[in-house]
Amino acid sequence: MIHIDTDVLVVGSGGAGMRAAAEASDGCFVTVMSKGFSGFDGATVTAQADVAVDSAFCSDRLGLDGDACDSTDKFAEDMLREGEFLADEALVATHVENVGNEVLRLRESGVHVLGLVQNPGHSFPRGVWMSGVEICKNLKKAMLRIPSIRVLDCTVLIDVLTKDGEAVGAVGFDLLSGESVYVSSKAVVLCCGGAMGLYPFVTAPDGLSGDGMAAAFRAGAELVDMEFPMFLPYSVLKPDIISGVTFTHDLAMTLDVRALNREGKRYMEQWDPKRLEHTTRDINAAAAGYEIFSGRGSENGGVYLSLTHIPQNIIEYSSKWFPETIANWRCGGFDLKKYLPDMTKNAIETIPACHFWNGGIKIDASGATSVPGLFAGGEGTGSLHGANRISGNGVAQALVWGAVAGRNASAWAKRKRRSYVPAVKNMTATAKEKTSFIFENGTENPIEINRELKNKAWKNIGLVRTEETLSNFMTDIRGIEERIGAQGIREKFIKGNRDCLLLIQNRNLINIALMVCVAAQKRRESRGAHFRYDYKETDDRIWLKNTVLALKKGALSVRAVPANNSRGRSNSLMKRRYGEKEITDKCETRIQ
Amino acid sequence: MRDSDSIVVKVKRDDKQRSWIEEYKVPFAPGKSVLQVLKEINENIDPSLAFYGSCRLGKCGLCRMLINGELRLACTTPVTGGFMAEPDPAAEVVKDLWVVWDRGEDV
Repeated sequence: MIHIDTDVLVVGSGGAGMRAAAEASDGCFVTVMSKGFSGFDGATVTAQADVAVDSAFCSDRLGLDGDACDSTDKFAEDMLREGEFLADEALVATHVENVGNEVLRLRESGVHVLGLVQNPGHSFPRGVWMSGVEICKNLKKAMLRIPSIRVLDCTVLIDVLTKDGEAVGAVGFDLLSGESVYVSSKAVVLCCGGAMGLYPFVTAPDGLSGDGMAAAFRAGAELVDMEFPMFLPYSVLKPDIISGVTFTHDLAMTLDVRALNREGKRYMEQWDPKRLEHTTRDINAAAAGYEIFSGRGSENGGVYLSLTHIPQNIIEYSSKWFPETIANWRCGGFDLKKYLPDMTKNAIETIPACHFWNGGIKIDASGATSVPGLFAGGEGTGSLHGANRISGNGVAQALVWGAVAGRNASAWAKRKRRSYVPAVKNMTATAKEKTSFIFENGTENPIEINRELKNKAWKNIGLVRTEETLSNFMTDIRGIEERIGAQGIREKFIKGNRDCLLLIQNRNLINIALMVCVAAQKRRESRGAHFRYDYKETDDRIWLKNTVLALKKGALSVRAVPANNSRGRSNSLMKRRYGEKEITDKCETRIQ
Repeated sequence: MRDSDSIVVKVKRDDKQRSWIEEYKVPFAPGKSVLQVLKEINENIDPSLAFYGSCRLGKCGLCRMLINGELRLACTTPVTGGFMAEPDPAAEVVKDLWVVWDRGEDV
């Protein structure tokens, strides 16, 4: 066992973790626990990174061609409306006020601003384009320069430790040495990202398994709005090598594309006859899901996206519209034309791939969770976006809320005289107990369990949910849970064994899956990224509420609480939507 | 190296005691990356094979290795036939193709 005593433990090292560590290091010793190789393993590095900043700030402070008529208030209104009024107004206010300075800080550290764009859902051009890779390099460089920060690479969080209801550290597992790691600290900050890895098709990196959310849940913290994982429609499905690449989504949002099922039918005519494929992402994703699960999907289980009716030179020209993402048909490290040489003749197989986690650990505007001493920031937290994230708020959330959580964790730590360090004997016993499942001689194959969980999640708690799929999943999950209890590494060695990581991730994903399912059962309506085929309407009479989940006496409890509209902005927006008429008799029908 | 439906993948393995070349006969399907084929070997043939990758998009750089003697990213390198994979000679090996990155050269 390795023991580290520190002031602030930051778990995760994407954009949020690195910002948290930098802020927390002001007067504190900080330890960063990173599941992979710090800086480059989270989702931040993959982002096309348009960071949304109010357009007036863009023109005044960033020297971009912004619009002085914009304001933080208008930005906040757009976030609340696009989030279908479930976002916490206090979080939204803090967010819009802080994000400009985060971008300024990045630019001062040498990150290049590539341009300003206006994205769907925004009333003004707010998307400040930067490269996710460059952001990560700069944040890592800044982090490494701070002598009071110690980084543990390839060390996976197992559990947050609490004493008398307060967070006092965590146990991790070092994948490289095979040792348990006991960190005692005065405060813990979770910046572990989303749980997109619950589903088989993702745009995000492979390893995002909700480790922070699951650990927070087990430590007794509240989570919010877990029924809203977001799927990006028209992500590439085939060929495998570019599966999860999203340039096809960009094309679908702008060109006059056709989404087709296996009969060649343009199914969007039934879902939104006017806007068709240019409807919202949520409806596109739900419609594709409905085709797929009704047996009308493409050869490999997705839907087709056809450009074949568009003249070749128009398609050629379209790549120039997105210089940031598909200049010359290059996307990430891929030459797209090499893998889709005939996109003017054949339809492309696409799929709604899991892209972002809207819900997460419940925090207040200081990044504090419901467990004293436990803070959280970034994608793994909830209530900033509500039911749907507006474009440009992914990396923005990481930067702003990593920093907020880091700052407040540091302030918390400074108020404490020392961290709670148990006797070595007790530490060893705790570390051993928490990591014992890795060393046990389990017989269940973790690869098979992972596949089964993903496939069942995809079918039952993914794009299209009904009472039936949800209750089926509740039954299935018990069996999977049992198998996870009996899982074991397939080859008996520890150092550098990929199965060890999978055991840990499966244990977290099963918690996440349960939360998604229970929250989706509770919410008997459709809103944003949550689509119930048996309750297609968005019901504002009943459901301007957040679902709040917590572990109470060993069981999962769920309650619906009125969304935090304390500043009243959502209410005035609602009035604008429905006229002055009371909203009590309103129920918006999204889908015919 | 490749018959009708399978290919031979050679991997330079290293368990810190010794190093050797292992050959795997792998079913071939077009359109996959080297990283995806290594994952298939680990999942279906040899659980002891170690490697590392994250973003799958050619961005994080963590799956860099020697492929047929050339330093490349496994996630963006297509598999068209048999190939040989070795760890980046400049990096410290944890096991097989899993090496330690501090990305110090980049930051």
